[in-house]
Amino acid sequence: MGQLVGAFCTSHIAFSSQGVEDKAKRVIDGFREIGRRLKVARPDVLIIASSEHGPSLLPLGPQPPFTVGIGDTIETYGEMSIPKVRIPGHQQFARAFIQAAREAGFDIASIEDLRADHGIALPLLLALPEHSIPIVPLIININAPDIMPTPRRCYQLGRVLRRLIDARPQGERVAVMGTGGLSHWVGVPEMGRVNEDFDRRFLDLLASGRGAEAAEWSPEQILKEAGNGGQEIRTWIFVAGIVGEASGEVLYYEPIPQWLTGMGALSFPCA
Amino acid sequence: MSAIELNRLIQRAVAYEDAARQLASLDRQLIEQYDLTEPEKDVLKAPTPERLAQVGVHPMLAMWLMILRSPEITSSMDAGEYFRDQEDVQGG
Repeated sequence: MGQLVGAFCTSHIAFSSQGVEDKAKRVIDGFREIGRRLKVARPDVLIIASSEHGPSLLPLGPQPPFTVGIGDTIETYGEMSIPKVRIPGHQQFARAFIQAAREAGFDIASIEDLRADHGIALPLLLALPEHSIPIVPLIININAPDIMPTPRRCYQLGRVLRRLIDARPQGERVAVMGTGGLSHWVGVPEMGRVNEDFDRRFLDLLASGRGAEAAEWSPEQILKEAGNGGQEIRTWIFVAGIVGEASGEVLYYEPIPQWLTGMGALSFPCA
Repeated sequence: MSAIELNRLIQRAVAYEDAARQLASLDRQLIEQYDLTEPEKDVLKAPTPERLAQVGVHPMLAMWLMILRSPEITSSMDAGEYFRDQEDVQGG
Protein backbone atom coordinates (compact mmCIF):
# COMPACT_ATOMS: atom_id res chain seq x y z
CA MET A 1 0.00 0.00 0.00
CA GLY A 2 0.97 3.64 -0.46
CA GLN A 3 1.72 5.87 2.47
CA LEU A 4 0.49 9.31 3.52
CA VAL A 5 3.74 10.96 4.59
CA GLY A 6 2.68 14.56 5.05
CA ALA A 7 -0.50 16.64 5.34
CA PHE A 8 -0.57 20.42 5.55
CA CYS A 9 -2.99 23.33 5.37
CA THR A 10 -1.93 26.90 4.74
CA SER A 11 -3.12 30.29 3.64
CA HIS A 12 -1.89 31.10 0.17
CA ILE A 13 -0.92 34.75 -0.05
CA ALA A 14 2.02 36.85 1.08
CA PHE A 15 1.91 40.56 0.37
CA SER A 16 4.34 43.40 1.03
CA SER A 17 5.93 43.23 4.48
CA GLN A 18 5.94 47.00 4.79
CA GLY A 19 4.37 47.91 8.12
CA VAL A 20 3.80 44.29 9.13
CA GLU A 21 7.39 43.03 9.19
CA ASP A 22 7.09 40.77 12.26
CA LYS A 23 3.84 39.19 11.11
CA ALA A 24 5.20 38.67 7.61
CA LYS A 25 8.25 36.92 9.01
CA ARG A 26 6.06 34.49 10.97
CA VAL A 27 4.07 33.75 7.83
CA ILE A 28 7.15 33.16 5.69
CA ASP A 29 8.68 31.04 8.45
CA GLY A 30 5.47 28.99 8.34
CA PHE A 31 5.86 28.31 4.62
CA ARG A 32 9.54 27.43 5.12
CA GLU A 33 8.63 25.04 7.95
CA ILE A 34 6.17 23.25 5.70
CA GLY A 35 8.96 22.96 3.14
CA ARG A 36 11.36 21.57 5.72
CA ARG A 37 8.81 18.96 6.79
CA LEU A 38 8.05 18.06 3.18
CA LYS A 39 11.73 17.45 2.51
CA VAL A 40 11.94 15.15 5.51
CA ALA A 41 8.80 13.33 4.33
CA ARG A 42 10.30 12.70 0.84
CA PRO A 43 6.96 12.36 -1.03
CA ASP A 44 6.84 10.92 -4.55
CA VAL A 45 3.81 13.09 -5.29
CA LEU A 46 2.20 16.12 -3.66
CA ILE A 47 -1.54 16.74 -4.03
CA ILE A 48 -2.28 20.48 -3.73
CA ALA A 49 -5.88 21.60 -3.28
CA SER A 50 -6.65 25.26 -3.85
CA SER A 51 -9.30 27.59 -5.12
CA GLU A 52 -8.64 29.23 -8.50
CA HIS A 53 -8.67 32.95 -9.14
CA GLY A 54 -9.35 33.23 -12.85
CA PRO A 55 -6.35 32.48 -15.06
CA SER A 56 -7.44 28.92 -15.92
CA LEU A 57 -11.08 28.69 -14.86
CA LEU A 58 -12.47 32.04 -15.86
CA PRO A 59 -14.82 33.55 -13.27
CA LEU A 60 -17.76 33.68 -15.71
CA GLY A 61 -17.37 29.96 -16.35
CA PRO A 62 -17.11 27.12 -16.87
CA GLN A 63 -16.70 26.55 -13.17
CA PRO A 64 -16.78 22.83 -12.26
CA PRO A 65 -17.10 21.98 -8.56
CA PHE A 66 -13.84 20.01 -8.66
CA THR A 67 -11.08 20.09 -11.30
CA VAL A 68 -7.89 18.05 -11.36
CA GLY A 69 -4.80 19.17 -13.26
CA ILE A 70 -3.55 16.33 -15.41
CA GLY A 71 -0.68 18.02 -17.24
CA ASP A 72 2.81 16.56 -17.21
CA THR A 73 3.94 20.06 -16.33
CA ILE A 74 2.08 22.91 -14.69
CA GLU A 75 3.11 26.47 -15.50
CA THR A 76 2.75 29.18 -12.90
CA TYR A 77 0.76 32.26 -13.93
CA GLY A 78 3.20 34.71 -12.34
CA GLU A 79 0.93 37.32 -10.78
CA MET A 80 2.06 39.13 -7.60
CA SER A 81 5.70 38.79 -8.82
CA ILE A 82 5.60 35.05 -8.18
CA PRO A 83 8.26 33.37 -10.35
CA LYS A 84 7.09 31.97 -13.68
CA VAL A 85 8.26 28.37 -13.64
CA ARG A 86 7.20 24.93 -14.78
CA ILE A 87 6.39 22.42 -12.09
CA PRO A 88 6.36 18.69 -12.86
CA GLY A 89 2.92 17.08 -12.77
CA HIS A 90 2.04 13.47 -11.95
CA GLN A 91 -0.36 12.41 -14.70
CA GLN A 92 -0.69 8.82 -13.61
CA PHE A 93 -1.71 9.72 -10.05
CA ALA A 94 -4.02 12.47 -11.32
CA ARG A 95 -5.88 10.07 -13.60
CA ALA A 96 -6.07 7.45 -10.84
CA PHE A 97 -7.59 10.08 -8.53
CA ILE A 98 -10.22 11.05 -11.10
CA GLN A 99 -11.06 7.39 -11.66
CA ALA A 100 -11.30 6.63 -7.92
CA ALA A 101 -13.50 9.67 -7.43
CA ARG A 102 -15.78 8.62 -10.28
CA GLU A 103 -16.22 5.19 -8.74
CA ALA A 104 -17.15 6.93 -5.48
CA GLY A 105 -19.80 9.09 -7.16
CA PHE A 106 -17.81 12.26 -7.89
CA ASP A 107 -17.74 13.61 -11.45
CA ILE A 108 -14.50 15.55 -11.59
CA ALA A 109 -13.37 17.78 -14.43
CA SER A 110 -9.81 17.69 -15.71
CA ILE A 111 -7.54 20.34 -17.16
CA GLU A 112 -4.29 19.62 -18.95
CA ASP A 113 -3.07 23.20 -19.36
CA LEU A 114 -3.53 24.64 -15.88
CA ARG A 115 -1.91 28.01 -15.27
CA ALA A 116 -1.23 27.80 -11.56
CA ASP A 117 -1.99 31.12 -9.90
CA HIS A 118 -0.92 32.14 -6.41
CA GLY A 119 -3.23 29.59 -4.79
CA ILE A 120 -0.86 26.81 -5.80
CA ALA A 121 2.29 28.63 -6.86
CA LEU A 122 2.90 30.82 -3.84
CA PRO A 123 2.80 28.20 -1.06
CA LEU A 124 4.63 25.66 -3.21
CA LEU A 125 7.47 27.95 -4.26
CA LEU A 126 7.90 29.43 -0.80
CA ALA A 127 7.98 25.97 0.77
CA LEU A 128 9.96 24.24 -1.98
CA PRO A 129 11.85 26.76 -4.13
CA GLU A 130 13.33 23.94 -6.21
CA HIS A 131 9.76 22.65 -6.93
CA SER A 132 11.07 19.22 -7.85
CA ILE A 133 8.28 17.08 -6.39
CA PRO A 134 5.61 16.16 -8.98
CA ILE A 135 2.27 17.66 -8.05
CA VAL A 136 -1.40 16.95 -8.70
CA PRO A 137 -3.43 20.17 -8.47
CA LEU A 138 -7.04 19.94 -7.30
CA ILE A 139 -9.12 23.07 -7.80
CA ILE A 140 -12.12 23.39 -5.49
CA ASN A 141 -14.63 25.91 -6.81
CA ILE A 142 -15.55 28.90 -4.70
CA ASN A 143 -16.31 31.35 -7.50
CA ALA A 144 -19.77 30.19 -8.53
CA PRO A 145 -22.06 30.07 -5.48
CA ASP A 146 -24.68 27.91 -7.19
CA ILE A 147 -22.36 24.96 -7.80
CA MET A 148 -19.75 25.43 -5.09
CA PRO A 149 -19.31 22.02 -3.42
CA THR A 150 -20.46 21.78 0.18
CA PRO A 151 -17.80 21.43 2.87
CA ARG A 152 -19.19 17.95 3.56
CA ARG A 153 -18.62 17.00 -0.07
CA CYS A 154 -15.02 18.24 0.16
CA TYR A 155 -14.46 16.17 3.30
CA GLN A 156 -15.90 13.11 1.56
CA LEU A 157 -13.60 13.64 -1.43
CA GLY A 158 -10.73 13.71 1.03
CA ARG A 159 -11.83 10.29 2.29
CA VAL A 160 -11.83 9.04 -1.30
CA LEU A 161 -8.27 10.26 -1.80
CA ARG A 162 -7.17 8.62 1.44
CA ARG A 163 -8.55 5.26 0.28
CA LEU A 164 -6.73 5.72 -3.01
CA ILE A 165 -3.45 6.49 -1.22
CA ASP A 166 -3.89 3.37 0.90
CA ALA A 167 -4.50 1.33 -2.27
CA ARG A 168 -1.54 2.70 -4.22
CA PRO A 169 1.52 0.58 -5.03
CA GLN A 170 3.68 -0.54 -2.16
CA GLY A 171 6.12 2.12 -1.06
CA GLU A 172 4.58 5.10 -2.85
CA ARG A 173 4.87 8.18 -0.64
CA VAL A 174 2.10 10.79 -0.91
CA ALA A 175 1.80 14.22 0.70
CA VAL A 176 -1.17 16.59 0.60
CA MET A 177 -1.58 20.33 1.05
CA GLY A 178 -4.75 22.39 1.20
CA THR A 179 -4.31 26.12 0.56
CA GLY A 180 -6.48 29.20 1.00
CA GLY A 181 -8.34 31.11 3.68
CA LEU A 182 -8.62 31.93 6.41
CA SER A 183 -11.34 34.56 6.80
CA HIS A 184 -11.26 37.26 4.15
CA TRP A 185 -13.54 39.26 1.94
CA VAL A 186 -12.43 39.57 -1.71
CA GLY A 187 -13.53 42.33 -4.09
CA VAL A 188 -16.52 43.32 -1.96
CA PRO A 189 -17.18 46.31 0.31
CA GLU A 190 -16.13 44.36 3.43
CA MET A 191 -12.64 43.85 1.95
CA GLY A 192 -10.00 44.14 4.68
CA ARG A 193 -12.13 42.61 7.40
CA VAL A 194 -10.68 39.59 9.27
CA ASN A 195 -12.70 37.45 11.70
CA GLU A 196 -10.08 36.32 14.18
CA ASP A 197 -12.61 34.50 16.36
CA PHE A 198 -13.78 32.39 13.42
CA ASP A 199 -10.23 31.64 12.31
CA ARG A 200 -9.17 30.45 15.74
CA ARG A 201 -12.27 28.27 16.15
CA PHE A 202 -11.60 26.66 12.77
CA LEU A 203 -7.93 26.08 13.54
CA ASP A 204 -8.82 24.57 16.93
CA LEU A 205 -11.33 22.20 15.35
CA LEU A 206 -8.88 20.88 12.77
CA ALA A 207 -5.96 20.74 15.18
CA SER A 208 -8.01 18.65 17.58
CA GLY A 209 -8.98 16.12 14.91
CA ARG A 210 -12.56 17.40 14.61
CA GLY A 211 -12.48 18.53 11.00
CA ALA A 212 -15.64 16.50 10.40
CA GLU A 213 -17.52 19.08 12.49
CA ALA A 214 -16.34 21.93 10.24
CA ALA A 215 -17.47 19.82 7.28
CA GLU A 216 -21.05 20.26 8.53
CA TRP A 217 -20.91 24.03 8.25
CA SER A 218 -23.10 25.46 5.53
CA PRO A 219 -21.76 27.70 2.74
CA GLU A 220 -24.01 30.46 4.06
CA GLN A 221 -22.52 30.18 7.54
CA ILE A 222 -18.98 30.35 6.17
CA LEU A 223 -19.89 33.32 3.97
CA LYS A 224 -21.36 35.19 6.92
CA GLU A 225 -18.49 34.50 9.31
CA ALA A 226 -15.46 34.19 7.05
CA GLY A 227 -16.41 36.04 3.88
CA ASN A 228 -16.44 35.01 0.25
CA GLY A 229 -12.70 34.35 0.42
CA GLY A 230 -13.22 32.27 3.55
CA GLN A 231 -15.03 29.72 1.36
CA GLU A 232 -11.50 28.56 0.53
CA ILE A 233 -11.37 26.68 3.86
CA ARG A 234 -12.94 23.85 1.86
CA THR A 235 -9.38 22.95 0.86
CA TRP A 236 -8.45 22.53 4.52
CA ILE A 237 -11.61 20.48 5.12
CA PHE A 238 -10.59 18.31 2.15
CA VAL A 239 -7.27 17.65 3.94
CA ALA A 240 -9.19 16.97 7.17
CA GLY A 241 -11.06 14.28 5.26
CA ILE A 242 -7.75 12.71 4.27
CA VAL A 243 -6.29 12.63 7.80
CA GLY A 244 -9.58 11.67 9.51
CA GLU A 245 -9.44 12.18 13.27
CA ALA A 246 -5.70 12.82 13.45
CA SER A 247 -4.69 15.80 15.54
CA GLY A 248 -2.66 18.57 13.97
CA GLU A 249 -0.19 21.23 14.99
CA VAL A 250 -0.92 24.91 14.40
CA LEU A 251 2.31 26.29 12.93
CA TYR A 252 1.17 29.90 13.33
CA TYR A 253 -1.83 32.20 13.16
CA GLU A 254 -1.66 35.90 12.28
CA PRO A 255 -4.65 38.11 11.51
CA ILE A 256 -3.28 40.64 9.01
CA PRO A 257 -5.92 43.16 7.86
CA GLN A 258 -3.22 44.88 5.78
CA TRP A 259 -3.06 41.64 3.77
CA LEU A 260 -6.88 41.45 3.82
CA THR A 261 -6.68 37.98 5.39
CA GLY A 262 -6.37 35.84 8.46
CA MET A 263 -3.18 33.86 7.85
CA GLY A 264 -2.46 30.44 9.31
CA ALA A 265 -0.96 27.02 8.77
CA LEU A 266 -1.43 23.51 10.13
CA SER A 267 0.66 20.39 9.95
CA PHE A 268 -0.62 16.88 10.61
CA PRO A 269 1.88 14.28 11.79
CA CYS A 270 1.95 11.30 9.45
CA ALA A 271 3.65 7.92 9.61
CA MET B 1 -28.78 45.08 -13.31
CA SER B 2 -26.22 42.61 -14.60
CA ALA B 3 -22.92 44.01 -15.69
CA ILE B 4 -22.26 41.21 -18.13
CA GLU B 5 -20.45 43.40 -20.66
CA LEU B 6 -18.23 44.89 -17.97
CA ASN B 7 -17.55 41.45 -16.52
CA ARG B 8 -16.64 40.16 -19.99
CA LEU B 9 -14.24 43.04 -20.52
CA ILE B 10 -12.43 42.43 -17.23
CA GLN B 11 -12.36 38.68 -17.78
CA ARG B 12 -10.68 39.23 -21.16
CA ALA B 13 -7.95 41.11 -19.35
CA VAL B 14 -7.45 38.17 -16.99
CA ALA B 15 -7.15 35.78 -19.93
CA TYR B 16 -4.95 37.83 -22.26
CA GLU B 17 -1.90 39.92 -21.37
CA ASP B 18 -2.47 42.35 -24.23
CA ALA B 19 -5.99 43.08 -23.02
CA ALA B 20 -4.68 43.49 -19.48
CA ARG B 21 -2.25 46.15 -20.64
CA GLN B 22 -4.99 47.88 -22.63
CA LEU B 23 -7.43 47.86 -19.74
CA ALA B 24 -4.76 49.12 -17.33
CA SER B 25 -4.39 52.20 -19.50
CA LEU B 26 -8.12 52.45 -20.32
CA ASP B 27 -7.40 51.98 -24.02
CA ARG B 28 -10.47 53.22 -25.90
CA GLN B 29 -10.04 50.66 -28.70
CA LEU B 30 -10.59 47.88 -26.18
CA ILE B 31 -13.30 49.51 -24.12
CA GLU B 32 -15.40 50.52 -27.13
CA GLN B 33 -15.76 46.88 -28.09
CA TYR B 34 -18.07 46.48 -25.08
CA ASP B 35 -21.53 47.95 -24.61
CA LEU B 36 -20.94 49.68 -21.29
CA THR B 37 -23.22 52.11 -19.52
CA GLU B 38 -21.85 55.44 -18.34
CA PRO B 39 -21.73 54.32 -14.66
CA GLU B 40 -19.77 51.25 -15.77
CA LYS B 41 -17.29 53.39 -17.68
CA ASP B 42 -16.90 55.57 -14.60
CA VAL B 43 -16.17 52.52 -12.45
CA LEU B 44 -13.32 51.59 -14.75
CA LYS B 45 -11.69 54.93 -14.08
CA ALA B 46 -11.82 54.68 -10.29
CA PRO B 47 -12.73 51.16 -9.16
CA THR B 48 -13.49 50.57 -5.50
CA PRO B 49 -15.09 47.48 -3.94
CA GLU B 50 -18.22 49.49 -3.17
CA ARG B 51 -18.66 50.87 -6.69
CA LEU B 52 -17.84 47.54 -8.34
CA ALA B 53 -20.37 45.72 -6.17
CA GLN B 54 -22.95 48.39 -6.94
CA VAL B 55 -22.75 47.81 -10.70
CA GLY B 56 -22.67 44.02 -10.33
CA VAL B 57 -19.06 43.04 -11.04
CA HIS B 58 -18.06 39.51 -10.01
CA PRO B 59 -15.95 39.84 -6.83
CA MET B 60 -12.99 38.01 -8.35
CA LEU B 61 -13.07 40.19 -11.44
CA ALA B 62 -13.43 43.23 -9.19
CA MET B 63 -10.19 42.22 -7.54
CA TRP B 64 -8.41 41.85 -10.88
CA LEU B 65 -9.65 45.24 -12.07
CA MET B 66 -8.48 46.98 -8.90
CA ILE B 67 -5.05 45.35 -9.27
CA LEU B 68 -4.83 46.44 -12.91
CA ARG B 69 -5.99 49.97 -12.31
CA SER B 70 -4.44 50.83 -8.95
CA PRO B 71 -0.64 51.03 -8.61
CA GLU B 72 -1.07 51.21 -4.83
CA ILE B 73 -2.96 47.91 -4.68
CA THR B 74 -0.52 46.32 -7.12
CA SER B 75 2.48 47.24 -4.99
CA SER B 76 0.83 46.27 -1.71
CA MET B 77 -0.22 42.86 -3.11
CA ASP B 78 3.26 41.97 -4.30
CA ALA B 79 5.16 38.91 -3.08
CA GLY B 80 8.37 39.57 -5.01
CA GLU B 81 10.45 40.30 -1.92
CA TYR B 82 10.05 36.70 -0.76
CA PHE B 83 11.35 35.22 -4.01
CA ARG B 84 14.48 37.29 -4.54
CA ASP B 85 16.70 34.40 -3.47
CA GLN B 86 15.07 32.05 -5.97
CA GLU B 87 16.43 33.49 -9.20
CA ASP B 88 19.02 30.75 -9.41
CA VAL B 89 16.51 27.92 -8.95
CA GLN B 90 13.84 28.99 -11.43
CA GLY B 91 13.41 26.29 -14.01
CA GLY B 92 11.78 26.07 -17.44
